[in-house]
Formats: sequence, C-alpha cells, structure tokens
Amino acid sequence: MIFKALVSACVVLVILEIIFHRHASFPWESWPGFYALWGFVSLFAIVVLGKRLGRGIKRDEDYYDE
Amino acid sequence: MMNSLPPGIIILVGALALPLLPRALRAVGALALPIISLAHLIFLSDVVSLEVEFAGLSLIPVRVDRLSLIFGYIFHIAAILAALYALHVRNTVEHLTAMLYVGSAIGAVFAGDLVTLFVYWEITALSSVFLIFASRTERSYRAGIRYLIIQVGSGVLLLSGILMHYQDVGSLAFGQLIGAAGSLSEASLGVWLIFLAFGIKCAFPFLHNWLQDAYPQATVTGAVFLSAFTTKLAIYALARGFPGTDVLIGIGVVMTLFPIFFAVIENDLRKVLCYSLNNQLGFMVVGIGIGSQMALNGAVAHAFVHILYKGLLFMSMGAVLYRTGTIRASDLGGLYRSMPWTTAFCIVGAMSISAFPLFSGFVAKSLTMSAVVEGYYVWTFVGLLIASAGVMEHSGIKIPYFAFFGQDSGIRCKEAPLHMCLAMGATAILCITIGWVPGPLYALLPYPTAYEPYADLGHSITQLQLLLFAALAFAVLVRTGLYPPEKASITLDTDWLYRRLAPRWVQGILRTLRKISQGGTGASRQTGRYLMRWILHHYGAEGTLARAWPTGSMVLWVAILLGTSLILYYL
Repeated sequence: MIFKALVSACVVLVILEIIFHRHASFPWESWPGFYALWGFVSLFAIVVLGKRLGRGIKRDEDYYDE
Repeated sequence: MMNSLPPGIIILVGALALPLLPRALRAVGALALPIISLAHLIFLSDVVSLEVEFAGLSLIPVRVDRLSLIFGYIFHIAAILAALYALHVRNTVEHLTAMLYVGSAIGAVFAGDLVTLFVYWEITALSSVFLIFASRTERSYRAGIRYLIIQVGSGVLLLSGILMHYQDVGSLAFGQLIGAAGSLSEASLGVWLIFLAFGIKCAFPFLHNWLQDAYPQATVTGAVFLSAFTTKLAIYALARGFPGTDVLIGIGVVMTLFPIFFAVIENDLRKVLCYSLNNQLGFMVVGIGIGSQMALNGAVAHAFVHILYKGLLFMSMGAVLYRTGTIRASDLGGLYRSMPWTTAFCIVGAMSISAFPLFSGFVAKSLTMSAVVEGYYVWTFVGLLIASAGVMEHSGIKIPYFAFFGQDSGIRCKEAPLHMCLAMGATAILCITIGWVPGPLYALLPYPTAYEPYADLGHSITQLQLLLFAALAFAVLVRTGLYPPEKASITLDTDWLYRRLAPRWVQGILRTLRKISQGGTGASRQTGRYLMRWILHHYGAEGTLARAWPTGSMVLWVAILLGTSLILYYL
C-alpha cells in the first residue's frame, strides 16, 4: 500500500516537473527526470557500496573490550 | 549594570549555584538559567564590545555582532529545549556540568579575543565530558577519557597557535585570521595550528572520530546537549576566522560524503546520528570555504536549523533508549504502536534534515546550494547532491524506519514522558515554522539577503523528486532483500588506529625492546662467563699463574738447568 502510494507520488512529481520547469543553473538540470534519476541511483549506489564497506569493517560488539 | 555582564556568565555562575537548591528543584533551576540568560541577551544586543586591560594585554571578553548574536540566540534556544528534555534527571553533576558547558559555549561565541576564546574552549571540553561519564559504564568511562584527551589536545594546539600568532602580529583580537586570498599555504604556523584546533572540534575527515566514539556513550539527555554545542562552536570559529579559505570547500565535500557510507551499516542509531551530524557539518564547512555573503549566510542558517532538527532526532532516539533500554537497530522496530508522538516528532526531524520543502532544512540548504551554483563549483555541486541523497538514506529513512517501523521487535513500552514530548513538540514546531516562514531566520543572518526559497516552484518539485525517488530506491532495496540486515555489530573507523593499531604497535615495540634487552643480557652474561673463566684459568686460585711452586721442584729445575749446561759445556 505504502509502496504504491510512493510510486504514484513519484509519477505525479515527474508530471509536475514537466509543467513547472526548474530554473536550471547547470545544463543537466533541465534534462527531464534528472533529479528523479539522481536520487534513485545515488541512494542505490550508497547502500550497495556501504554494504561492501561493511564486509571489511564490521566487527563483533565486544571487539574492543578485551 | 546588567548590560555589562558578559553573555553566558549568568549560566556559568548559576550552574555553580545549582547544588544550593533543594534536590527536586535543581532540574527546574537548570531550565530557568538559559531562559534568564536569553532575556539578558536580548537587552544586551546594542552593546558592541567590552574591552579590558589584563596583564598588559588588551582583551575583548565581549564582542556582540550579527555573527555572534545568531549563534548566541540558537545556543540559548537549544539549551532551553535540552534542559526541558532533561527535567527528569536527578543527577546534580549532570545538570551542573551541562549548564557549565552551555554557558561556556555561549561565552565563546561572544569572545572578542583569542585568549578569552581559549578559556571558554577548554571549559566546554572539561565540562562536557561529564555528560559522557554520567552513563556510568566502563565503555562510557573509556570513551570519555579518549574524548577528553582529544578535546584538550585541540585546546593545546589552539593555545600554541594563539601564542605564535601573537608573536607574529602583536594582537590577540579574534577576527579573520586567514589572508584575503583565502590561501592556507601562505598562512603562518600559528594560524595553521589554530586552524587545526578548530578542525578537530569541527570533526574534519580523519580528525572526526572522537564524535562517533564519544557521543553515543553519553546519557540520554547528555547526547542532546552535546549534539548542539561543541561542533557548532567550531563552525562559528571557522566562520569568524577562516571565511573563504579555499581548502575548506574540499574538506567540506569529503565530510558530507564519507560518513554516509558508515551510516548505512552502523547499528547503533545514535551513532548513525553522529555520522549524520558529521555529514551536516560538511555542508556548513563548504559554505564557509566559498566565503561569499550568500555562502556564509547559508552556513550560519544551516547551523541554526541543524541544531534544532539534530537535537530533535537525538531527543527522539533518546526517548527510545530511555523507554526500551536499547538503541540498536537490530533490537528495535515497530515502536510506532507504543510511541506514536515520539514517532511523529522523529519524522518531523527526519524530514527537516532531509530538506523537504516546507521544512527548516530546505530553507537553509538552498542558500548554500545557491552559493555553490553562483560560484559555479561544479564538482562541489555534484558531491553535495550525492550527499543529499545520503542524508535522506540515513537520517530521513533509516532512523525512523528501523526504530518505529520495519520488522516488529515485539517491544511494547510507554510513550515518552510528558516533558520529553513537550521538548520534542516545541522543537518540531520550530522546524516546521522556519520551513514555512523563513523570513525571521533570514533577518537574523550575518548579511542581508533577499533570498526566496520558494520563488522557483520547479526547485521544490525537483528537490521532492530527489528525495522521493531516493525513498523509492530504499523501498526497492528492502523489498528485494538487497538492503543489508541490521546485525548486532560495531563498525571500525579511524578510532581503530588509536584503540587497536597504536596499542598493538606499542605492545609490539615493547616486546621487541624486551627481547633485545633480554638478548643483550644473555649475550653479556655469556661473554662475562667466558671472560671470568679465562681470568680464573690464568689468575684464579688454581690458575696457571697463581699456582704455588714448591721449593723442591725449583731446586730440581735449577739442578736440571745446571746439569744441562754442564753437559753442554763438556760437549
């Protein structure tokens, strides 16, 4: 339910962007859906990379308590 | 008379008087102090500065200008909210040290000279460590000691820097320390040391880990106080001394980026907030590094709203810890049933920090971002945009999701106490009000601004896109099982260097030294033994040279000698 609401909100936002253009300072900002894609890809990449990092630096809770 | 009192002094003196109150009234007394002090500050506003001569040095213990005033106001507001939140605490030492901490932080932002700044700087370090010790666990004690060593170390660097700087320029005034070119490579060693001292308190990359190490060990209420003052005092000091220092832009971008990866995997939710705090400081440091009026306004506005929403998030996680006894994401979940108000307040804090339009984070961050765009810093812009998605991940979603939603932990507890709910509610109202009506905040900023965050509707829409599509990515990751499960664990950071590697090295070096000395002792003992044996052989009681030769054998030898010579003679 929440997932569907989220998806519909996202769709609405993409439509809204087509109606109300953003004042673009950098050229890529005017590409339609740039911020949407950026948000999705960034978070995805952050989590995947974070997970990788976790394999190297995660330890038991009492690691320092010897 | 009242007007000549330095700001913060009422709280400092009042804190020392708190133990004189009846036990039950001390928490109320601690709440009253910042309220009285704020009233005093509002009347003080037109006093520009106070100069005194001390030991031949001209000091300016009080300097009131727009930059110090806005920090003075927000420090008072934060102290009032945190003291309200701490109304249940019955530990006098905690109230006393919290107020000393608040008073000295306020004193520091009004310090007009470097010596006064140093004195307050050290009091903040010494008083705040008691908020960590007050947890009364072995871990908190050790973390507190580490915190103290690093904070006092920052003070020592500051003092050395101040002395060298005084030698160079002959003035102790605390104004802009960096040259007009904003280049640190042209600065003197004294200025470098001061920069480094500020950098430690500001949690620059590689100097940051005291924050994530110590704050999560503080008490429920202590962490709320800690989150507001130390690092923002450093932001103030950088904004005062180093505006436009170009290296700060790079430092700031790195600060916004690296903590987000740690925040993804960290299990202790208050520690996640510490990584998030580190990331937020990065945005402010970038603003100070750019150094334009708009960028400095952005950095200061960010510090102002950040103190509120970060305090709110620490309060909500503190309430969870207070009620459930744990703050591990792996043990929590589904608490919205038990703590609906805390959940709602936490969500307001989460939306504010993620910079949703109509929340306080948006109106501050937009200023910094506009300054980045104005200066056409392309890579900085890209970095901050990634960091924005990162904020959404750890503070916007992870904190509320794993504490209040997600998998039901089965924990059923009471809602947070009334005074905690009041403190959180008031903070949440401030976060929303600033988001809707940013005008009064903008009016307080150091430089006049005509910025209108909602003038471009497209800006708000694209910001919402960024955030909601990031949320969508989170939902997809969770649904597909790609999101890393929360497990009871800790993550290593640079503290590993001094908690594990350095002790190992020291142990290793000691072991080698011991071996060398043992080896040396063994070898010298062996040599000594040989030497002694040789000496004994020759000079000892039974030695060749010491043998007693009987007279008879001498006569015999003489006889042999004479006999031999006689025979030789006849031959």
